[in-house]
Amino acid sequence: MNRRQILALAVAAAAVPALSACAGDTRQQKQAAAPVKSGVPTLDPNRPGNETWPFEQAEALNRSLTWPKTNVPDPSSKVVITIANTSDVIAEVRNAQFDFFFKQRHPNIEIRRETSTFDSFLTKYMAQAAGGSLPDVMYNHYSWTQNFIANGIVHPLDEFIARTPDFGMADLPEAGLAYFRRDGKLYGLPTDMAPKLLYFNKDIFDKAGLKYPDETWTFEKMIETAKKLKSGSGATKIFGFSPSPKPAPDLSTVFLMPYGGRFLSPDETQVVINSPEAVKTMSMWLDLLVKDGVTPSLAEELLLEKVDPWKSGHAAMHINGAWIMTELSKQKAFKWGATHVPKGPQGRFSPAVGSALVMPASSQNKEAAWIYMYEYLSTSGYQFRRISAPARQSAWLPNAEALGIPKETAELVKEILADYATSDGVMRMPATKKIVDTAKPIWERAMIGKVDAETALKEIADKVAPLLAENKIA
Amino acid sequence: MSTVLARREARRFHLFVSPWLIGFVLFTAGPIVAAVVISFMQWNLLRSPVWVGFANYERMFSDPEFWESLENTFQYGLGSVALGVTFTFLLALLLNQPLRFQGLFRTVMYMPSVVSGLATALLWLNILHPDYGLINKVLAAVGVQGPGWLASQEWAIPALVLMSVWGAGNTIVIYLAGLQGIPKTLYEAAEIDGAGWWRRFWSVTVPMMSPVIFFNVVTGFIAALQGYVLILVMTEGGPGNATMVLGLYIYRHAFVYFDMGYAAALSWAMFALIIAVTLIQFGLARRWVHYEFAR
Repeated sequence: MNRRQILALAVAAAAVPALSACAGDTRQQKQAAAPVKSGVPTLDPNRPGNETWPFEQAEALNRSLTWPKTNVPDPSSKVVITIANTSDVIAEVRNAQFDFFFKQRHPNIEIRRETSTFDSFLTKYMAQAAGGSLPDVMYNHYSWTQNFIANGIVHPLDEFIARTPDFGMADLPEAGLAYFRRDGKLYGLPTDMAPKLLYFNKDIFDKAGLKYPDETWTFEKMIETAKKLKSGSGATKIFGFSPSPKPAPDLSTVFLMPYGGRFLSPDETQVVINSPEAVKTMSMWLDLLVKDGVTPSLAEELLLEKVDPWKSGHAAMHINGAWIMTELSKQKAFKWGATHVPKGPQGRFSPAVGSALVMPASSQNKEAAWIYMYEYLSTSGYQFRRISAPARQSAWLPNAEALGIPKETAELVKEILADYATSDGVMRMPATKKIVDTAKPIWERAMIGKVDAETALKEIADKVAPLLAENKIA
Repeated sequence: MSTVLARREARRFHLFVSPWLIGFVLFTAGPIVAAVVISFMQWNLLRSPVWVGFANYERMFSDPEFWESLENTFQYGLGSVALGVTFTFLLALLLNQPLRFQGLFRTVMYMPSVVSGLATALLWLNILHPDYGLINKVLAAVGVQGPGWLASQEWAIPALVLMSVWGAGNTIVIYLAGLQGIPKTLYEAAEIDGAGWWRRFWSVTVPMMSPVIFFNVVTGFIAALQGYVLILVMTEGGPGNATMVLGLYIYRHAFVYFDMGYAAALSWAMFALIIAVTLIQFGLARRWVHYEFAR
């Protein structure tokens, strides 16, 4: 081989990775073709809208809705309130339209909108909190709010709710408000709230000639069926269930409480994930992964994290929140259905989770901020935004109809929220992130087959226990 | 030079240097001093900082994850520098050959350096995937079962090392500049003395390039010890903390847990580590780096 050939070979070697991007897993290609949902759209401030959300339609929708009243008065002179939200480029157009019509109803309230991606939101606003310059209304994930409350960052909303006779507290499922309550006060109003359900891919079930899951199903039945539905390999692989349960804020509610186990004690001050009940349950799931290969392995999850096997039609069953219905209702790749989460010997549990809007204690325009929060989170506000998991139950059916979600599925979600959805077991205290980050790598070693479930869970208990001191809020 | 002229020159010097100086004081020196102070405090950003003395440093020395991250950092640093310096040097030698399309070859080699980090991460997630990845497919074609790469605790760091070489276009450019600076007369003299290609390489190219190699080793180590962004995107430190490098550990404590005091203490540990590694390299350099005009 002469030097010219060596050089050509070296260049080819360098070019191969670039070319390989064009080959490989077809699921990755599907993901690459997905629209980018980031950045800030340029909108006409006098007629905000685009092809997805035409201004004319928004105008008609706004006219058709009845906007609620509060006894909190509008400011007598111009005030500017800052709204900090996390959103993607599609939803942001709708938010801009909401602001446009809101300003028509409240000419003295000027809105300055700050939009950030979810990943950067907390860092940005923690830094602002340190600098004493928080906005007037701020998005909050359910796992952040208790920390903000404990540090006196957010203002209770009860006084404003009391001044709003039409507020309709009963329309919000009590099960999902615990994240935002402390000492009898409510600090956040949910922007969305949904239980988790068992989703299934009808095409995979039909092909296998098996009956769809229903409310009679137990986890054992689900696992037994998942084993039957697993098929193929490589890019054509079908997983019986996805993803494999692992340490997460709602691990207790979805997977452990049906068997009498928990990750942490209800007040989140003790670790109980090494109890016999929890060990038995997690061992069952680990076997399904390590011995049966029914759920995606760690290696498969590594790439599939970017291309969810459920979304790409490679998983027969999947437990997730009702919020994914917006996307599901639009996709044509496969037929899907949803039913109750399976039962365990101790019953059936589903976490009611959702994010909220909070009012920072530092806001100088609390009354104007309340007027905004109330309208944004009213039944009409939810209908205007057309989200698939409105916390206000009165908005569920109209939104489901507008989004093309089957009526029976929307009714099912309402039923779960009213019946057995709960915030019990969902971690929300300050140490949540550290706990998950500490437990996850240990459990990953079990997923790889390095340790058994019992050893891993004992190690998790030992390492997580010292972190719980942070959860003891005075 | 007259005094007036000297004063004018000094004024201009200060004028031109002031933007950098102001930026350095405000955005580099200021935070460095702040980090020293914060490292002696407990501060979650939401409450006032509390002075805790050396508690954060004591915690660091008894924190097994800190030592684990340190070990991972060393493994990644050593691996990426050793492989990167060698591989890019060989590539630079090839690209230094007078051939047709030399410019094209050099451009192709440099291209990966301008690809964004996230794109690189996604690309390499594909390449390293145990089932669908290019590397394992090639290995399978010759009858070898490839490892789990990023999904394997043993192979995750080697996988990242492999990836780190791909974007080393800047290093190649530095090597090329060095190679072109070697006087041709040295090769001619060696040739007259009967030296073959290998002897010319060992006795002329390597000694003449040793300052450049040294520069790339030092800067490569510093970059590798600080690096974490691609690792964050690709593995988040997993599986099982196998890729939890010090940079990522600091990031996690600072911007995920908002444990600013501990993060600042960890940052000083990283600084000390970089200083120590660099000093060792300078100490060793006396034995192998050849400076043409050294006294």
